[in-house]
Amino acid sequence: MGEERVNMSRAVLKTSALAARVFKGAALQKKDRGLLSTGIEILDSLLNGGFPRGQLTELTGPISSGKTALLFSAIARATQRGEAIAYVDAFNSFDPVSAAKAGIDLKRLLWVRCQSSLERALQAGDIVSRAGGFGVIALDLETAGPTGPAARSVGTISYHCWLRLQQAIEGTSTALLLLTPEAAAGSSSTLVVTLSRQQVCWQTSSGMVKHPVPGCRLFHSLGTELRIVRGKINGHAAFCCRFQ
Amino acid sequence: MPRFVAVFSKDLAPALALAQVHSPRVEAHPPDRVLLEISEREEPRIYSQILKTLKQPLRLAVASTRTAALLAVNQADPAIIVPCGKEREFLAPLPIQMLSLLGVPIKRELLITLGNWGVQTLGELAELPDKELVARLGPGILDLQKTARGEDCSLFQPFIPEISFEETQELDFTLFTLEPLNFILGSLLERIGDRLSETGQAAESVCLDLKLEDGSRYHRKLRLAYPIRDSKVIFSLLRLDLQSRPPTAGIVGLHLKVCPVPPRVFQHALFQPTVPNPEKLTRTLARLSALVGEDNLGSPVVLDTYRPDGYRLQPFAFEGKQETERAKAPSPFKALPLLVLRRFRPPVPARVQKTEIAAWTGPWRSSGEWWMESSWTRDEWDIEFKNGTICRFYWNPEDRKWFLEGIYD
Repeated sequence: MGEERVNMSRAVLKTSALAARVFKGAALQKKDRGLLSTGIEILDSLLNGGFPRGQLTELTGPISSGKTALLFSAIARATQRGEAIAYVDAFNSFDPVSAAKAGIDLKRLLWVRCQSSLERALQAGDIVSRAGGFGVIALDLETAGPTGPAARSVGTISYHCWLRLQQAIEGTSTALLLLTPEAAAGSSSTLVVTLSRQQVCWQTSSGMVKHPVPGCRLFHSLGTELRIVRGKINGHAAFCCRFQ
Repeated sequence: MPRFVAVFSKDLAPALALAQVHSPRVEAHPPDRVLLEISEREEPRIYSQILKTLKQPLRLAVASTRTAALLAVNQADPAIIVPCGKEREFLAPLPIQMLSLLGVPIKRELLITLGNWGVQTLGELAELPDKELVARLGPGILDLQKTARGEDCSLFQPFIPEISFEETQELDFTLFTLEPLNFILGSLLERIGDRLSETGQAAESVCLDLKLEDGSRYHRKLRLAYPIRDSKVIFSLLRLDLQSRPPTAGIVGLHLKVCPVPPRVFQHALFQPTVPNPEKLTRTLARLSALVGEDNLGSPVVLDTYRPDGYRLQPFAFEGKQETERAKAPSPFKALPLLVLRRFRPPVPARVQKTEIAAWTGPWRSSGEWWMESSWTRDEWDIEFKNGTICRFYWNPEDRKWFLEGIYD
């Protein structure tokens, strides 16, 4: 009799509107509790859920490789979850319009403009890391120029700065994402991914093409490949970033 | 049984001061009466003490009800005692119009009606039968009748002295560094913090006014992101602000004022994502502000304009929300990630060499606000270079120059 009631309850829950609201206790221990989703399915599959929380992750690659797009995608996902974000912008290159289009809730984002000073950016990163409560701290040390001073300066940052940042967030639920032209944090970073551009695709009236044809005047998307350079897992994945 | 002492004075302040000396339960009846509650046992002692300090134009009345004491003080010269239980008899010969001294509203029509009935005094009103009176004048007349009998119809409203959240200190010698000033600020803030805790309030803003040696004044107002009660947190914010903007001359005096507000209640939910602690966040914002400047810190707000890079910064104030229901959470995987523009501020003057260009799109004309001085016109191009960099350029027809606006990444 009791078993019949349980089965009937399960059947009712499945079919009723409550199904979406009721979940088992085991679901509380979801695998992605300690991971920050990238917002891109194929990358989440590659990274077993996303970027690790309480750890330093480096997003590296040349300019126009899509790493800022990847960063914004992860931040957008975090703001959708209701988390607070700190964006430390060393060279004042953050574009609020692009961020809003990428799905970032700007009310949850604290933008720290460091006026082209790497030292100030690192100090600001240290302050927000120790404050606690931020779901994601993005440390954008990528210069907007193709061959700017950042490419040389990031490599000269001493190792203890990265170690200090890593220790500040260890054990917390904060994901520290570092955007640099090349890997700089050494063993302080748990995960290092590098992005490389593949192909620009064009928009035509009949769809997307890989080579420009007469009459087509719009970029459609940029193909990008992500490769894990250092981490517990290996692999690579390709995805596309669309133009605004 | 409590007894009530009514003190009449043309100026309320000395009457209040006198009352608070003798009793913690004081009720103010502006503009000229104060009531204090005492015990029957203490009555002779307090009565004689007040009489000793009583000076004209103060008058004094003692009764068992507040109503009787407040009405009797008018008849005092300079003092009068209404015996216990004799309030009704004492008030009986007084005219009905005296009830207006208690702030009781009496309509002119009611006075005329009572006058037509031959009811002129409080005693006559008190003796009228209840039910017949209500039947003729409505239920509201009952309170008036109770008051005429010397009974209290309202609750005791204790006088709460206004608490000041200000501290002033004149210095015996001039301070030229911030360290000794910090020591004084800390002790003043501790006192203010205690008062905030006692009254269950928190600080919304802090004003610091320094009197300088050269006669000028240094004024700073800190608006806190969240109401804060902890004096140490307020002190650290003030200290950081002073460090970033120190006064220009020696300090000879200071005035500190805090604006009190009810504290904000912040309740965390069990499954809510991590949110910044409000007090910690306020300190963090203060430290960041000292590092990069107030103007380089905040949440961006996209403006409703087609002007490129149209945004403004607003103060960051985070209020966490509960995670949206699982069924309604939007899937993150449907749309491709957006290629982001990394801007140059200001745009960089450029010279484009066609030999380096791999592909391009454009031009896209953008213009606006032509009716204002801040109008703009430009032709935008997205250019892919042979080295793989994809940039946005624009041509300004007014300056006849190319500019590099940003790089896609």
